[in-house]
Amino acid sequence: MPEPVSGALRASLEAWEREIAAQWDAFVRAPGTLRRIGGQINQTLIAQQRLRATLQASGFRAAPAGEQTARLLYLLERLEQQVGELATRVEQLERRVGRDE
Amino acid sequence: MSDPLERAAALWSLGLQQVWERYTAAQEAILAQGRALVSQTPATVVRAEGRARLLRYTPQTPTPRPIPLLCVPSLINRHYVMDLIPERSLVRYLLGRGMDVYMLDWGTATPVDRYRPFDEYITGLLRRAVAAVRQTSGSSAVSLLGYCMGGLFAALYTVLYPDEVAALVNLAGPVNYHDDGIYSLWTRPEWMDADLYVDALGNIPAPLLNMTFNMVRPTNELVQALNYWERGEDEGFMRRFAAMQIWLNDPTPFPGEAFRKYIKDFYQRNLLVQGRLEVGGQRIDLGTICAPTLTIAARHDHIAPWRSVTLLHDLVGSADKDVIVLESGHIGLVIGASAQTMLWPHLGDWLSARSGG
Repeated sequence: MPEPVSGALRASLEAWEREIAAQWDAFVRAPGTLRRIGGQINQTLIAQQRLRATLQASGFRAAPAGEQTARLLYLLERLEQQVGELATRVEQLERRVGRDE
Repeated sequence: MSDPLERAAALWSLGLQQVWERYTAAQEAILAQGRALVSQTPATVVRAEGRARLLRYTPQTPTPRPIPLLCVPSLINRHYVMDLIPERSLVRYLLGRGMDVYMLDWGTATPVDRYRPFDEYITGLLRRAVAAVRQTSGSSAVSLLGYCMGGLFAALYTVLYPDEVAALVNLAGPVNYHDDGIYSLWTRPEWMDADLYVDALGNIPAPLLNMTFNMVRPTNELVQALNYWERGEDEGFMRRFAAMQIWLNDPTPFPGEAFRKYIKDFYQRNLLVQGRLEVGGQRIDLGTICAPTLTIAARHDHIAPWRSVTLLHDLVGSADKDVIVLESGHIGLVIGASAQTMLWPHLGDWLSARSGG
C-alpha cells in the first residue's frame, strides 16, 4: 500500500469524520429538518398514489391487478396452511379413535 | 482551514481520492467473493412455508444437548449474520458447545407478504417453526435466541406460549421504543405517516431501508474505505470485510402490514412497555415471562439503544435472569472481534446450563 496515504490521512480523517458525524447527527435530529424531509416524503407518496389512481382510471390496470393477485395468493397461502393443520388434526383424531376401538 | 468542506478537499488531495476510488472499484469483486463466503455451516431444511425456511444445522457432537435452540433473526436483515463466515459464526460456536441449533430464515418478502399481519409472524410462522423444532428434536420445549427484532419476537412468543419456551435470550432486541435513539425520533407521528408508506408502497423496499441505515452516519464509510486501503492484503481481513459487505447490502423488504403495526404500536405508541400491546388477540404482559431469561445489549448500539434492550430484564418475572451490556455496537456484538471473547463464551455457558444433558 502506498505509504504517503495511510499514516497522515488516518488521524486527520478520523478527526474530521467525528466532527462531521456530530454535526450530521444534530442536523438529522432537528425537528425542522425532520418536518421538512417528512413533508417531502409524504408529498412524494401522495403524488405516487394519485398517479396510480389516474392511471387506473385511464384504463391502466396492471398494478392494481397485481396487488389483487398478491392479496389472493396470500389468502390462498393461509388457507393452505389451515387445511394442512386441519388434516394433521383429523389424522391425529383418527389414530386416537383407532386406538380406542 | 476550519471550514469542514475545505478540510474535506484537503483530505481528498492528501490521498482520500485514491482510497475512495480503489474502494468503490472493488465493490463488485468484494460482493462476488463475499457471496461464496457467507453462511457456510452445513444445514438441512426441516420445513418451508411461503418464503420462510427452518434450518437445522448439522450437530457437531454425537449427542447434542436435549433442549434445542431456535435462532430468530430480524425480519429485515438476513439470518446469516449469526453464521457469517466460519471464524465469525455464532451458530458454529454453539454447535461446538454441543447445542442442537435451528434457524428461522424469514426469506425475502414478496408482494404476497405485504398482507401478512405482524401478529401472524409470531402466532403463525414462528409458532409452526417452534412446533417443527419440537417434533424434530423430541423436546417439549425449545430455547429461543432472538437477535434485533427477532429478540422482540422471541419475547412476545414467550409471553404467548410459555410452556413451549425453555429459555429466552434477547440479543439486542429493544422493548422500549421511546428513547434517545435515532429511529425513535425518525418514526415520530409528527413527520412519519406509517399508513401512507404502506398504502403507497406496499412492502417497504429494501433499498429504502438500507438508505435509512446509511443515513445514520454516512461519513463512516470513508473510514471503512481507509480500512480497506490499509488492510487490503490481509487475507483474513478481506474475508471478513467481503462477508460484511454482502450482509450489509442484502436486506429484505419490510412486509407492509407488519411494518404498519411495528411503527405505529411499537415506535409511535410504545404500547409494549405500557402493557397495552395486543398480539393474536392477547394482551402482552412481559411480567408473565417465567422462563430463564438472558438479556444482552451493546453499549454503542445506535439501532437498539442498550437501555431500551435491558429494560426486558427489569420487566420479566423470571427468577432465573441475567443481563449483560457489552462494549460494542449492534452488529459488532454478534460478529465483531470481541464477540468471540466476550459474547459467545458467556452465551454458551448460560445456554449449556439450561439445555439439559
